[in-house]
Amino acid sequence: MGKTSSVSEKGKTAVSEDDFNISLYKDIVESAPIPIWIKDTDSRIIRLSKAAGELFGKMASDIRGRSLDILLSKADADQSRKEDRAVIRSKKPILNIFRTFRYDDHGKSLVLQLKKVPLLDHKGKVTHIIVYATNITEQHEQEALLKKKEGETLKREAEYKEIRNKIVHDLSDALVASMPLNDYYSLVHTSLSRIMPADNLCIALYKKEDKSFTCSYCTSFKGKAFGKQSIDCGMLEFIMKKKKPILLGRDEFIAVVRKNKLTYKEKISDWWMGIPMRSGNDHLGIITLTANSEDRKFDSNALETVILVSNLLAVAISKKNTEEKLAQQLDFLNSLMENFQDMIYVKDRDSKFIRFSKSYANRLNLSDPSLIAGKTDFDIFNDAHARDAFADEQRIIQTGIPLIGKDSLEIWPDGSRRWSNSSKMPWHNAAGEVMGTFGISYDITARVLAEEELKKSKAMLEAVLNYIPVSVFWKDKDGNYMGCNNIFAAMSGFENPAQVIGKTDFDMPWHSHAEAYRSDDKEVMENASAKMNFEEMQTNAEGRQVWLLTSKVPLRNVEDEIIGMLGTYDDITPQKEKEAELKSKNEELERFTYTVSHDLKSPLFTIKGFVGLLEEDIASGDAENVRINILRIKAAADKMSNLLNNLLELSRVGRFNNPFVKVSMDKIVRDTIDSLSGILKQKKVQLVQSDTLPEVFADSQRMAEVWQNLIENSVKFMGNQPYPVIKIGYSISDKFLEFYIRDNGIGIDKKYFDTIFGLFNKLDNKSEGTGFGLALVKRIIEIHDGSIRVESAGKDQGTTFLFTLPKPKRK
Amino acid sequence: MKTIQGEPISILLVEDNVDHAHLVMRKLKSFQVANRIVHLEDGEAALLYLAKAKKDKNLPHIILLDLRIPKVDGLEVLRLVKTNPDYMDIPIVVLTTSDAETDIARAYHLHANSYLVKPVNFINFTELMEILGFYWICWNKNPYH
Repeated sequence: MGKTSSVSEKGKTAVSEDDFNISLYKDIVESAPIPIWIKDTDSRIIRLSKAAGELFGKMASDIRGRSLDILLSKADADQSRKEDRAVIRSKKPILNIFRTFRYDDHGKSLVLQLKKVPLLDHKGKVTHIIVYATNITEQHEQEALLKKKEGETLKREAEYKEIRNKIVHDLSDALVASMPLNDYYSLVHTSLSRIMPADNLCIALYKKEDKSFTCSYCTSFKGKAFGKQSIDCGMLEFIMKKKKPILLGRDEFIAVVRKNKLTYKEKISDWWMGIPMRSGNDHLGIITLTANSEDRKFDSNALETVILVSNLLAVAISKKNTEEKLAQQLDFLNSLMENFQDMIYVKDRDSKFIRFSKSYANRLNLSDPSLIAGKTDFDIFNDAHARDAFADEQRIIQTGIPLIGKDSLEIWPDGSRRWSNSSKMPWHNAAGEVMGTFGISYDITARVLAEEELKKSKAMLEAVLNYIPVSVFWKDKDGNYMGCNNIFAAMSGFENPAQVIGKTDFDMPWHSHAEAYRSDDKEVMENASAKMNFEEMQTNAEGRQVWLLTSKVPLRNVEDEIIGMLGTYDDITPQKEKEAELKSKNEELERFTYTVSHDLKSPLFTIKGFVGLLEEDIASGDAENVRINILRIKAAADKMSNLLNNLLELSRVGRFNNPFVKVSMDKIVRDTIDSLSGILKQKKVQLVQSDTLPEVFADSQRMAEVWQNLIENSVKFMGNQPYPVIKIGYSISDKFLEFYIRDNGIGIDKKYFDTIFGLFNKLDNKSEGTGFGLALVKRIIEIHDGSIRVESAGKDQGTTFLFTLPKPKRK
Repeated sequence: MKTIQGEPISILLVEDNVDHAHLVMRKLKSFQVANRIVHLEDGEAALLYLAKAKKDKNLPHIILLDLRIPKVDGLEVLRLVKTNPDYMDIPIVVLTTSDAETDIARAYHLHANSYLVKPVNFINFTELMEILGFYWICWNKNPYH
């Protein structure tokens, strides 16, 4: 090229040498070892180099002095001329023109790479075009061949993919059709063999239980199956751990560094492929493929295909496993339905029976259990029960909340009444929708009857405890009340026994006795011996002191251990009061007898004594003494008679009474005062009565005797009082009317307050009366359920007698 | 009069029933103590008398005491006398119509020296009075005052 350029330089300067130069160029071109030819401005070839001639061969002579058009297609010829014109016009070369020349009639072509360079004269005018050619025919042909080959590869890949898709499609169909697993393995094998050249295919299943692999399917692609056998291959475990497929070529190995030592995993073939199969987190197994010859080797395309297949296989295996589990569960369910003694049933959303256990059918005495399918509780039980059950089931369906352990009474078609304990739960499908309910019931009739029996006997026991007319209570070892009966609760001021539980004696109205009671309890529990029928005091809920007859025994549990104490007591206060009353009455009677015997004996002694003296005096003729003796005898006899009358009178009180009626005390007092007006006037006693006395319920005649005696008594003991006054009045308390009579007489010493009411007790021998009046008054008041007492500040301080009577009942 | 030992005897008779007192005194007449018998009708009077007699150095040698007497009861008089160092030496003979066991027991408990029940039968009474006279007035050694 440099040469050409220098030639061109020279051309510009040596115009006279143009022809020479051209001739020289022509020579150079002709002898040039590369294909060169020179065209004139009309595209006619003027010269061809030797190499160009060789190139065109026998055609060379045909084209010399002519254009190359005959070797070109019409389009190429036009293009070539266009290029030539462009070079002439622009005076610039055009490089890299690729042109195909028809070589001969057989269609053989020549492909040349051309460079067209302008040749200028000294005037700068393009006179010729030099064309340099490089023969690229072979290269071009090779490229074309290559292109053709590429097309074929693409086509093959497409076909491969098509087959692969077909395989996947077939395997998917088989999967959907639930093909048996062994057939499926077979199908995998035949499918793969259509596109895979491998020597051997093995499907190894992983057994989780003993962490081993079982070769479930193993066959060479020549069609020979090895059958099932256990395999132990380090590569399988390695893949399982890696969870990734592995493809190894002839010279590839897996290097493992273990304990700082490099080892290689053993490989059973030249080419080896292993793909793990998984379902979720579960290892299902591994597919391996092996190849030992060049024509059966496999590549990454194959790996991709096997991965696709392995995924399908994993689905098939996992589906099979699930189906097996389901079948097992179904077996179990069927067995349960067949053999379970409790009644199991499944109902749909309308509470219609879908399934139920044999026990349920038996209960209904159905020979054919299917008869009940589609029926509801309404077809079996009474309306009330069926409605109740239906409501329960619908609620479960709506809320999803199970009903656990409901006891209900069922009346079965055969008329039997049975108690059952039922639990019902929502029945969800896999999507979580409530499909209905399922329930389980078992017969608890025996238990319910036993409980009822227990309840009855408990109620009976409680009734006995509550109706028994004594207080019953029991406490634990720490003195806490564990229970009591109604009477006990009432006596302690509680409404019911439950309120007593947990309390101690310190919480009770009798807290002041608590220590003593608890010490008794302790004694009973520690000595394990009963303390029977002892009397003790108690303060009851009303604050009243009562007498109790108590027994305490140790309380034992079924193991015979002492866990507390049991006590009973009876309120014996009335007995105690009666006893005291009786004792007092006895003492009174004793005093009475004593008094009577003494007081009656006394005049008797007098009479006898003076009769004796009388005899002596008569004998001695003492007339004066005789007279005195007789008078004394007479007086003593009178006294005796008087005493006897009084006694008789006293004994009549209480035995011979007028009926008690409502009477005006005011009138009784007025009448009495009237009858005593004589003596009152004589003694100049002033009688004061501040209030109108109320009505009382009494024997009016006896009541008159009371007032008469009391007024007479006051008059009698006025002493030297210059202005004797007697005052009569009354006061009212809750339960009683209290009447009083007060005088301003001689008064009475405190020490005689009790004795003055005794029979024949006279304070002063010289005073009037027999000592009978106040005894009579006391007796009458007592008959009227009242009491009498006396008050006096002492000598000459006056005396007040006060007596009570019950308030008359309102009518 | 003098006792058999030649001692002059004075008697305090406490008896509310004047008839009974009359009979007792009449029967003791034969022992010639009439002017030496002081008869009082209630317990209070008896105690007052003893207090005065102590002052006058004129205490009775013997007290005949009825139990059922007004104001201060016979047993109370007995108690007061027998617990008072001034009088406790004086023999007390209870003379009463009561033969109640309680009365007898109480009287001895309070250190009565003797307990006699007045017999209703006049002959027995006469006999008792004679024995009483001989025993307590003639034979019994009384403490010196």
